[in-house]
Amino acid sequence: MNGISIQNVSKSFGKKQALSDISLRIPAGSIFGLIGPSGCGKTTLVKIVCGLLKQNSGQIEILGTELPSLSIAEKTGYMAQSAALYPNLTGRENLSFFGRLYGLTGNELRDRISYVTSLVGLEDDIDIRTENYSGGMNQRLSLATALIHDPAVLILDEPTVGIDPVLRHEIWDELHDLAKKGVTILITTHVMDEAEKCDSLAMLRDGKVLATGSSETLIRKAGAKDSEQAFIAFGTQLSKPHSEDLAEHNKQKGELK
Amino acid sequence: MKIRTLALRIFTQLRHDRRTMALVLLAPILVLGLLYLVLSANDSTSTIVLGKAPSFIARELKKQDDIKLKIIAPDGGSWNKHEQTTSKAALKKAIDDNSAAAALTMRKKDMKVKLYLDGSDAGTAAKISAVTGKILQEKAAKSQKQLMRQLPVSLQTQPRIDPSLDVVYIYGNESGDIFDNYGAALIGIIVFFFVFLLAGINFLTERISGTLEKMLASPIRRYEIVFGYTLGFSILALVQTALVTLFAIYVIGLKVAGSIWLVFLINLLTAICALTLGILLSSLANSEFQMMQFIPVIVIPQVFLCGMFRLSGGWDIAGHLVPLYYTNNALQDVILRGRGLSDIWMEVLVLLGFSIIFIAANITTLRKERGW
Repeated sequence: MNGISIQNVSKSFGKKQALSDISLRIPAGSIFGLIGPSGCGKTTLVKIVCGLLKQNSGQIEILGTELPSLSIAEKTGYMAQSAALYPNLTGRENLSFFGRLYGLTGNELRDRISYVTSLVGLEDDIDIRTENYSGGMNQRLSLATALIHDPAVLILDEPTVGIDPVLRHEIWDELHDLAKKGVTILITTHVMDEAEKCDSLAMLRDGKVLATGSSETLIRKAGAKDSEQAFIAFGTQLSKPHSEDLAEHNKQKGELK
Repeated sequence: MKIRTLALRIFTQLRHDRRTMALVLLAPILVLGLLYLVLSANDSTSTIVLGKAPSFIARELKKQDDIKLKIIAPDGGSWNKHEQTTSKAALKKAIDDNSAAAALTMRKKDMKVKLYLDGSDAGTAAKISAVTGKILQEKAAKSQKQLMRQLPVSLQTQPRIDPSLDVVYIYGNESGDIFDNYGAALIGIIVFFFVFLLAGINFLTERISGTLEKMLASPIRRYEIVFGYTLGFSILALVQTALVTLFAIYVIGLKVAGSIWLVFLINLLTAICALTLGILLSSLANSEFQMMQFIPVIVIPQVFLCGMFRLSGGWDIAGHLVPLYYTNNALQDVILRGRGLSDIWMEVLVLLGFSIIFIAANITTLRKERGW
C-alpha cells in the first residue's frame, strides 16, 4: 500500500506557480526525502499533504484515503519549520495539549509524553517553560509533539535544524525504527548527508520534480561525484538568477499569510 | 472535548503569564478608579473676585456650598451710588493674581452686572455663570413681590404668580455625581477594551508562531478552535467582569438599582462580542503593533457612539451599528433605572447576534488558513 500518493498536484499563489503537476508515490514504511533549494516548493507540498493548503488540482491520498480528511489528520504527525510551541507553557504542558488534540488522555497520554520526551532527550527539562529552551531544545520538543500520538504518517519540515550531531544521529535511528514499524515518513531537508539516509528522494526545483530515486540514482543522473554535487548540479541547471528565485520565494511567503 | 482542551490551555497560559493577568485584572480597576476621581471632582473651591457689587450678591455667593466660593474684593467691595464699575483690566489682573475662576462687578445706575469668566475650565465657568444668574433672578423676583405688596389691595385681586421650581428625580438622586451617570457605560467600555485586545493579540501570536497551523494540522474542527477560544477567554472575562463590577459597586460606591446578575450577564456578553471581534480582526494584522492600531479604529469610536455622549446632527443613530451601544443601553437600564430582563432582552439579543456573526466569520476565516 502507498503511504502517501501524490497525483498531478498543482498549486499556484496568484500568478506564481508554486507546484506544477507533482506526482510522487511513497510506499508505507519508507522514509522519503524532499530536497531542493529554498523556494522550490518543498514546504508548499508538505503543507498540502498535511491539509494546511488546498491544491488547485490533483489528488492526495494518505493510507488510501483522499484528503482532506479528519481521520487522516488524526494519523498524521506534522513538524513545521518553525518550532511552533507555546513559550509560556512547560514542555510537558505543550506535549499534553497537542496530545489531547489528537485524542490522547489519561495513562496513555502520560506514557506517550514520557516516551517521546526520552526519545528527544528532554527528560530533565520537560517541566520548565519553553521560553527558557535553547533553539535546539525547541526543535526537539517540536519533534516530540509531532510524534506524541504515534502517527502512522510523519511529515517533517527540516526537522534537525539546530540539533547537535549526536542527537541528530539518535533521531535518525529512531526514524528508521519507526519506518521499520510501518510509519511512512516524508521529510524535507537540504542537509545532504541526511538526504542520503532516506530510502528515496525527490529533487524539486521551481515547483517541479527534476528527479526521483535513491541518493545513488540522483548522483548518477546528475553525473556528480557525491550528493552534495548532485544537489548543486540540479540546483543550477536550467537555472534562473538566484535573486529572482528569492523574490518569488518571498512573494509566496507573503501570500501564504 | 477539544473545546475544553483548548480552553484549559488558554487558561494555563494566562495562569503562567502573571504580568498579563495583572494587566487584565488590575488595569481596569486602576482606570475605573482614576475615572471616578476625575468625574467626581466637582467640589473643588473656586475663587470669585468681587468688584463693585451690592452686599446681597456677596451674601448669596457665600451661601453657595456646592461650589465653595472665596470672595475677594480688590477695594473692599464698597458700592457707592455714583461709582462706575471696576475696570475690566483691574478685574483681569485680580483674576490672574488670585487664580480666580471669575470676577463680578455691577453698575448701580442700571443694575447691570458684568461677569468675567476664566473659560479655560468650562465646567466651573458654566456653574458660576448659572449660580450668579440664579441669585440675580431671585433678587429680581423678590423686588417684584415687594413692589406688589406696596400696591393698593384692589389691584391684588388677580392670583399672585409665585415662580418656583420643583425638582423631582425619577431616576438617580440629587447626591449622585457624574460618575453614576458615566459609570454604567464605563464598565462596559473597559470590559470590551481589555478583552478585545487580549484575545486579539493572543490569537495573532498563535497565527504568527505557527501554533495555529499546528492545531489546524491536527484533527480539530474549525468551530472547535473558535469555541475553545471563546470559552477560554470567557472565563477570564467573567473574572474580570466580576472584579470590575464589584470594585465599582463596593469601592467606588456606584449605585446599582437593578440586579447585579444582569450586570454580569451584560458584561459577559460584551466580553464575548469583544473577544470574537478581536480574534476576527487579528487575521488582518501581521504584528502586535498592527493589532494596537485597531484601538483608534474599533474601540475609541465606539466610546463616542455608545450613547455615553450625545452627538450633534442626529449622528446618535450611528450608535445603533456598534456593540457597545447596546451594552451601554442595557447597563444604564439596569444600573440607573433598575429595569429587569424584560426591558433589556432586545439589547441582550443584539449583543448575542453580534457574537454569533463574529463567531461565524471566524470559522469561515479559518477555512483560508487550513485550505478546507
